[in-house]
Amino acid sequence: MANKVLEVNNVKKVYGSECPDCLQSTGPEHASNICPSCGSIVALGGVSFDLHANECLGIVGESGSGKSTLVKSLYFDQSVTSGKAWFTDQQGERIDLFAQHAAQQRWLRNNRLGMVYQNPHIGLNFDFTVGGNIAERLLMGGSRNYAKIRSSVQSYLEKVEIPLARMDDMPADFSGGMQQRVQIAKALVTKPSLLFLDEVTTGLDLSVQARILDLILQLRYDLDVAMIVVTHDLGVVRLLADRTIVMKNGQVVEGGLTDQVLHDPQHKYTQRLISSEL
Amino acid sequence: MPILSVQNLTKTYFVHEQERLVSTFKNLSFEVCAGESVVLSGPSGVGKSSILNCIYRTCLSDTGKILFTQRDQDQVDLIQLPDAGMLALRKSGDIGFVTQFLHSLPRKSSLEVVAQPLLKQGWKKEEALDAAADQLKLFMLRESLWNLSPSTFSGGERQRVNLARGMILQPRLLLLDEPTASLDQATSVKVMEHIMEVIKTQKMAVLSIFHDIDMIENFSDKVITVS
Repeated sequence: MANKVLEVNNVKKVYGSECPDCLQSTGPEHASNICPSCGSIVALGGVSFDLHANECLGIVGESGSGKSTLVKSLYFDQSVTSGKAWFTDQQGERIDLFAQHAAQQRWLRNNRLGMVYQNPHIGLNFDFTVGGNIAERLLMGGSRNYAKIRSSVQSYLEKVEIPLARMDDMPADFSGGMQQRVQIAKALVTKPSLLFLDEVTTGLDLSVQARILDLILQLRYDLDVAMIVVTHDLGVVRLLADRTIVMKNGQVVEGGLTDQVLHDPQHKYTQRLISSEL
Repeated sequence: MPILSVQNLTKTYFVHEQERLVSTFKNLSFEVCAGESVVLSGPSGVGKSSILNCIYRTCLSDTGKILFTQRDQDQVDLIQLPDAGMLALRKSGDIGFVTQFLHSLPRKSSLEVVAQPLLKQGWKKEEALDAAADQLKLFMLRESLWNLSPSTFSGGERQRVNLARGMILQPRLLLLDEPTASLDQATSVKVMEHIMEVIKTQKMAVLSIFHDIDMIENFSDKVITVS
């Protein structure tokens, strides 16, 4: 059986003063993540899951269910209130993600993890060229050989089907779908063992969505990278994810093999979510 | 030792919206051996597809055991097996499932759709596409369609792409849910003759659902009536 790349255990994120009632009085059964006693927002109320090597895990749920907060916490964009997340890298070293100081977090982001945001303005620096954006990741990871950096950038632009002639253009001159593909190249160029994809196809037109999903599937087979896909589109997890967890009000309501969750949902909320699919 | 041994399997669905329990089969037991074609028969709605879904973990079972004999002759209970173990059995081609529906990415050619299980296993693209072409030939799909997306195909053509994809790994246990439902009589017979030949030569265990009485009579070693 495959090794675990990530073990997330009882992760909590509370915005506000946090009182002893916070966790007991929020969650799916209360249909709210706002604590009635102190008014704190419980964005994550004790989330646990595992991710195996080469596996793709889908996280679905409505807006405000905490799915983006979860991946942003794992990518150090946000801090958590409590909980553990163990990450095992390609060399087999087991790292306690939430115990890392700022420099270690930066090193992990630059060398071991990758992230594709829904909004390319967060993932890309619009003051650099497309090639420069991808090269920046390699520079941050410690590469200094100009020729090697340039050839790596070229090879990843080819993988995401961006014409090399446009390598020195600015991201603002690219379409939304192309910007998303540049983000994917930027995330993958450091050969991370774990890639986060946060609503990568939301807001793109259908033909571009299909192309991005196809690309992600292809890269997954080629590069052997474990992925966490956050989406509210059940079609995306059906195509990409091996396993899926369903979140509501900051908690995981159920999880299982993707086709099982979609075909035989157990929780009331999941049944309603799947029966509402167009 | 049988490849699949289902013991006292029970499945119910709970519909939260209506707070209603829907029961299907209860305490079902049967076995499928290597090189054997077993057909599930019974009226619509009795839970035949749910049996296949429980075995492939597309549905969760309530009680019972689903014992699967692995290549090393070790038996695992598919109900107790962790998700990662079940995924590994699917990916390695130990258990395959062909449903009536084909979910594939838009704009992927039939060749690529059929080659996908091999690509997942890390095959080189050219070799996987060659193997896919061989399968499509065996399932009599016109060569002019190979480079087109199955989404534009007729039901019968799409079903043959689906079967080719399901058979490409020659799974030890193959589950077929009405594999010939969209095919005409002559093509159905040809397709099933080919599948039966592979079952016998490769010693595969096959559990299928058919509604056509002739197909059941001609292509089954054993029939299990679900009620």
